[in-house]
Amino acid sequence: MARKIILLLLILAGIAGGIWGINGVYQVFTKGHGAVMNTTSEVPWGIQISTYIFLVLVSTGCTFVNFFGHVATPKAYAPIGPRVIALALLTVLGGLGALLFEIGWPTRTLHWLTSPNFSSPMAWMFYFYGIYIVLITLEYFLLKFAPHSVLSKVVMWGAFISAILTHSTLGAIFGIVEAIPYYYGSLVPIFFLAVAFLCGSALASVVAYLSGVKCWSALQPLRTMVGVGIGIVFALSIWRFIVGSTSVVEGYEIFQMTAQKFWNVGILIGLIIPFALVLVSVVKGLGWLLPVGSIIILITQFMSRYSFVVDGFKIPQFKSVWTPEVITYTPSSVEISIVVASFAFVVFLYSIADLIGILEPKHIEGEVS
Amino acid sequence: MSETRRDVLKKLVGGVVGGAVTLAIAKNTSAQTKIEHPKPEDAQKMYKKYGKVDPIMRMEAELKDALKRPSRRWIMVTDLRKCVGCYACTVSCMVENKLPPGVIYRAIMEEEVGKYPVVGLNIIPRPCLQCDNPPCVRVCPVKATWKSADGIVEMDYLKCVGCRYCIVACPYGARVVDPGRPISLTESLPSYEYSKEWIRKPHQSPINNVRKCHFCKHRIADGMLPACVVTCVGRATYFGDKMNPDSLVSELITKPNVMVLKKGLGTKPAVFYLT
Repeated sequence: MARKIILLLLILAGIAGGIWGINGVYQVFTKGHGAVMNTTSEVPWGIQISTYIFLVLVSTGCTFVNFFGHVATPKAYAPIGPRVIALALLTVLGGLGALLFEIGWPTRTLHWLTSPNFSSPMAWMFYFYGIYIVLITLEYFLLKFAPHSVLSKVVMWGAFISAILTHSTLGAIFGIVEAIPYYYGSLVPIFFLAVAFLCGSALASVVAYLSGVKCWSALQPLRTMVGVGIGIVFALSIWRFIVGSTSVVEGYEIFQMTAQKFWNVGILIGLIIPFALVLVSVVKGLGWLLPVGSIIILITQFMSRYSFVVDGFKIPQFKSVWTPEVITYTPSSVEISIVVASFAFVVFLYSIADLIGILEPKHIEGEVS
Repeated sequence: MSETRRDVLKKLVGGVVGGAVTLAIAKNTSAQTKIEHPKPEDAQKMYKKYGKVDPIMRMEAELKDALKRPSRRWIMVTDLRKCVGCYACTVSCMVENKLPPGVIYRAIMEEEVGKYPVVGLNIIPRPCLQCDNPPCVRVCPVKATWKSADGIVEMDYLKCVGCRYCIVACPYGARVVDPGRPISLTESLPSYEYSKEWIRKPHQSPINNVRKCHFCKHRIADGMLPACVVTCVGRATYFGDKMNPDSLVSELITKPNVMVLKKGLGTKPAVFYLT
């Protein structure tokens, strides 16, 4: 009963966020993109792009979790399979929504099909997204209705590979930008995949805990995944920071400028404290500490993606007396409303799906009835 | 009473003579006000005769000469020793292309150097550098920007999706987004970028598009130099065909004091600076 009330509240929150977002989109189309957005030529990508990255990385992570869960601990993981894949689908759609209203001419996205430039990772990403979305949609239905079929396994592998392709390409969008040393590097696509795995396992942990006793068997493998994810992201983050902050190349000073935020939020609050919570949950047997740590991870990773995107533009390409030494950006209310709507979209549809009971795998449904 | 035949003839002759005189004066006046554009051979004759000719005249003559050739490669050279940082080029560019506030194709980068009392000011005019290896072209997902045969990096405003990836990829900050903010009378007048008429209206390109300097391609097509070149008060900006070994710009880029911005990135800019 309490769970149903929570779901109803989430649905209401989703509706409220959606209405606010629709208002934001209405303003974009009536007043004009530039009039209501705070992105500029100096900061061309803002909070909507960072939200898009966060949500699609969560989606990738969910696909990873689903794959590793089914491969490593199929029995323990099976109860939350459809939930996790449903979340993968909803988060990628929410992320693409945030992206769609960020670009200047969303009506022209058809040119991706008619005139693709295959030397651009952004063009490849468009095609990979198409394959990825089709495969995870198919995977959801197979997990729901034929979880043990050969086709289900084939599609699961396909979804896993397409997730790697799609979201490492997303990392490459930043990784190939030589103009901004803060982004540039072959590590970025791999870093994105690691962050995706961490975020996906964190969200799956929260969902598994809140979905009731029938899903708690998945908490044990998920705890391991969160721990491993923290370890990989910790190593990659630290090395990326060390390489960046010790470089003498112009443009790398952003690492020094953002050092305090990196250590405090990115490392201490975002990784070390959650890792400590996961450890305590194992030692003391306090299961609720895992979702708490996971929520901290999700919040700090959202903040880190925002920092990653926006901080790259901190230093102008050319210093001049009329350009500020450090370029700042604050999102507008319309940008925030579209971001909120993207999350609201995920929350609303997931809660509805949970409420009407279409997220249970076939054999669990049988047991319950 | 009625006019006599003599009166009518007098008026007729007077009218014919008056008209002829008026026509002659008008013809004479138009002949006086007609602007004689220099011909390539004139500039070359003057150069041979005096050993020197106004660079604008020479460059315009060379430009017309280059347009007659089957292929050409436009480049720009700025003599930083002559640039006084007057912003005339920036303003003329804005007027020529009807640029709105915040959209600048040819920015002037001023950087203070040194410490008091030994101080200086570095002034670098920065148009689009029309790189031979342009990162902006490589990243555009829909081929809305490309490097044309004459060396200019062009844009298709009607194809640009406004993703701004090219702005992120450009190491010179030479690309700007047209945010569509206030449209005054001047900004709503048509511009003729890429030899097409563009009227800035809400929900119409080039609003929400990425925009950039195109060396005034529309002016070049009509045999005119880019607006920034002709308005440079110090004759510090030069423009011409790199493929013509006798052109002024070809002479200038062989000087030992020539440099390009951020050479290490390998973008191969077509804008050179004399220091």
